[in-house]
Amino acid sequence: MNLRAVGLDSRAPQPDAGLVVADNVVIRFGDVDAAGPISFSVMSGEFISLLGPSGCGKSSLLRAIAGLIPIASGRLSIAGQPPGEAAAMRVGLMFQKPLLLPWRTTLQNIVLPAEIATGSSGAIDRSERSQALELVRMVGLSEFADAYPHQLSGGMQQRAALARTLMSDPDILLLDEPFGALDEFTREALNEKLLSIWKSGATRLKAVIMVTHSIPEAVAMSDRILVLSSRPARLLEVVPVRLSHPRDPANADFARILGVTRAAARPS
Amino acid sequence: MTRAFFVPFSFFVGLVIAWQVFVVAAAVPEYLLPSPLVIVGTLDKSLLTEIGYTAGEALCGFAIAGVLAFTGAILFVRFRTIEQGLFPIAITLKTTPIVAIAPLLVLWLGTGWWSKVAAAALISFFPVLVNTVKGLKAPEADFQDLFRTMRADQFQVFRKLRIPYCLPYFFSALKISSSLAIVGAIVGEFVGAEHGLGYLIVISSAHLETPAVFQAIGAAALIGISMFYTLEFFEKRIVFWIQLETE
Repeated sequence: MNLRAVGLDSRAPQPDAGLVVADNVVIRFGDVDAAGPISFSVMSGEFISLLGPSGCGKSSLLRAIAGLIPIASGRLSIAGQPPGEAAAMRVGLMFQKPLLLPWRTTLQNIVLPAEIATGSSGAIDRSERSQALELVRMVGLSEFADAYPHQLSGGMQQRAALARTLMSDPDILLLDEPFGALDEFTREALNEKLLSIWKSGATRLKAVIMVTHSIPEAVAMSDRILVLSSRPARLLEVVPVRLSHPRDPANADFARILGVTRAAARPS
Repeated sequence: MTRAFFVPFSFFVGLVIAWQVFVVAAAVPEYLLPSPLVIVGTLDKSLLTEIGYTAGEALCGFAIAGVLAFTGAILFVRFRTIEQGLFPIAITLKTTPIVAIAPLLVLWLGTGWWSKVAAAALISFFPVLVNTVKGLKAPEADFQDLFRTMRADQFQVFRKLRIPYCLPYFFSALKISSSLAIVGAIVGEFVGAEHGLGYLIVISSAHLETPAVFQAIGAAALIGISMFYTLEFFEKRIVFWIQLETE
């Protein structure tokens, strides 16, 4: 297969040249290497997929970027600062599970980040409330704003979780297989929703990093796919996807990139 | 009222009738086993006073235990050193039978109200403490990570996550402890008292006034049932999102 024809490019990333820069990052749990050494960078305006088999350590990479777990060696920076300290850049992490608080309605769940940001008072102001209502509308849950999580379907719960993540006005959105637990139909619909929010410019979002183990999903969504090896996750290949949205899986270019990605991801 | 009510109710009525028939037919002496009709027929207003004592002691002890256990659980989860230091002691105290401690309580606090309150509080404290600690620790790691990504401080994690999350555990423990509190109060009264259902049971059985013993037992059960259902009433309204099994 001619890789050049689809613009496959595996140049080493330039350090200090991106919003998120990983330079020889290693993540270790005790004696077990979870990921790395791995280097990559994410530019402003990019939708990146971290594609790899289950358990390869891609979620650990995402959590390191979110500042939830430390890295063992290498350098990881967000807008030039270490993760978790990058005050100028807000990072929002969306988990595989919706993690809604069952005693709060959809709207109350969505305003949670704003409540926490106010400190001890916990009282949100009018503009935050109207922002939450706007997000509820954006994810299509207006009719369910006052419903409790157990009254929502799995897809609706994930949409509420997406709205809550966006409520903190993140610059960088980290998605850990966000719709992985949902059925194919719901998943596609939510991916489209996510893309339309990303493309709409209604948010502060500058970059999206999505962890997935679905090759078609990675091709359908991202500008670049970082193909990772099995544990410990190393970078096997970078697949750029220069296709306009909406992307049609029946399109020949789509199929070709799918093939390239699949070949890159195949265990050697 | 539904089948769920009528089936147990009919069985209860059947048992009472069988009891009555057996006592009359076999001519069982009243001091051994009084018939239901005798037990009800000899009811006296003075029983209400004794109920008042025992229920008051149990409720007071129960409330003290609930507040202390809830506060203690938060301190345990917030400060691990306190938990490491005190939990083994708490478990030891929990496994010591209240009957063994009750005489000491009477010795220290006298034969009045407070020794019974202390016994009730002591016995109902531990289930609430243990269950509440469990509930405060129950939110899965992802929830805690979520709060970390929102940069919540410890106070907010407790207020907005751990405490609401533990309420179902807290209530199910309160329901278990409500009946224990009555045990504590009655045991305290057994050891030394001038009032209460425990006192009534000891005095009446010594005088072979068995119907009064049965009245006291029935009254104790009534206090327990009312406490349980009152708690369940509040549980259903406060912890509306979940119903943990309490049995």
